[in-house]
Formats: sequence, structure tokens, C-alpha cells
Amino acid sequence: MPTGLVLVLGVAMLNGLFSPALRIVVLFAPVWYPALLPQTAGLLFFLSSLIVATLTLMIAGVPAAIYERLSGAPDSNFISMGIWLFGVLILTAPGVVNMLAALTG
Amino acid sequence: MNEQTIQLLPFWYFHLPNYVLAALMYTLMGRIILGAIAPAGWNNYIMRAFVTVTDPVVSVVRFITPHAIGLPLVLVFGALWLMLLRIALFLAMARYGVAPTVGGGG
Repeated sequence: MPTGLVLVLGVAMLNGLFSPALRIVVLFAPVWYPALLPQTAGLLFFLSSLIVATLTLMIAGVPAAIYERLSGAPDSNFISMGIWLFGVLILTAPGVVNMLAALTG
Repeated sequence: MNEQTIQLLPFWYFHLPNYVLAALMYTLMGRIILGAIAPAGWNNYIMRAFVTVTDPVVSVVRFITPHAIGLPLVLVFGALWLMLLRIALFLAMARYGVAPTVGGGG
């Protein structure tokens, strides 16, 4: 897996853990949480974190994808990965406070 | 005309697009699940219908998703984008006070 993609995925996963948007996704759980799954807090927070991380990837990927289409690149390249990583970092910024709080206890 | 129909009609401008988005979303989920369990190149009529209905959505999502993401994950992204659109539709309607509300108890 390319290094750029690993970085993007890693930062998106961090955002899934520490983003303030996690609370909103948990609040919307009655809308998206499947009734078939066990109604446990652990699974709820795991899936909420997964949703936030995936949404981070999706939203931050839009400018990178538009760059790839406009430049006619046949595949992702250094520049598009850089744009994607920049977008993910911007979306992860609000969660830095939570990250620092977790690190310092 | 029963009571449920009467409740839906005043908010048709919300229910109609919401229904279309929901139908697309669940059809896309069906495509994901069938694609995961069916053999490659399976020419079943249900799979063909799912693919035909969801291909426009997949094309749009493919356009706004980097090449590094393969088709299976593009399908998942498509379902999530449709869910986001439905939530955004409801929030936009609620913002202007025209969203349907849950009826009170009898």
C-alpha cells in the first residue's frame, strides 16, 4: 500500500477516535444503527468511530479526486495524495484538543 | 385515503426525494452484499437490475473519489454519501421550518 494512502488512513483513523463529530454521530445512532446488531455501548462507539473516519476520508478525498480528473492523471500521484492528506489534516484539527487531553491525562 | 397517506401528502417535497435517495441507498447496499457473496461475472437478473439502477450514483461517487480507492470501497462510499444527503435534506428542511414532524400520541 502506498505510503501516502497509509498516512491518509492513519490520520483519518485518529480523527475517528478524537473528533468532536463523534458525539453527533453517536446522537444520530437511532437513525443508522442496525436493530439486528447487539445494543452495546462498545459496538456503538466502534461503529461511530468507523463512520467518522470513513466520512473524513470521503470528504477530504473530494478535492484530491477533482484534481486527478482535471489533471487527467490515470492513477493517484504524489500531488493528489498530498491534497488528500492536507484535507484530512484540516478535518482532524478540531480533534487535536481531545488528543492532547488524552495524552496528558 | 387512510390517515398515513394524509400525513405524507403535505410533506411530499420531503418524502419524495427522501424515498428516492433511500431506494438508491438500499439498492446500492444490495449490490455490495450480492457482489460480495456472488461469483465473479454472475449474470443474475437481480444483480443486473441493482447494477443498472445504481451505476449513475457510482459514476458520480467515482468522480469525487481518488483513484487509490477501489470499486468495492467506492460502493460503500456511495451508500454513505446517499445517507449524508438524506440527513442534509432533513436538516435543510428543519432549518426553514418545513420538515415533517413526529405526530403526537392519541
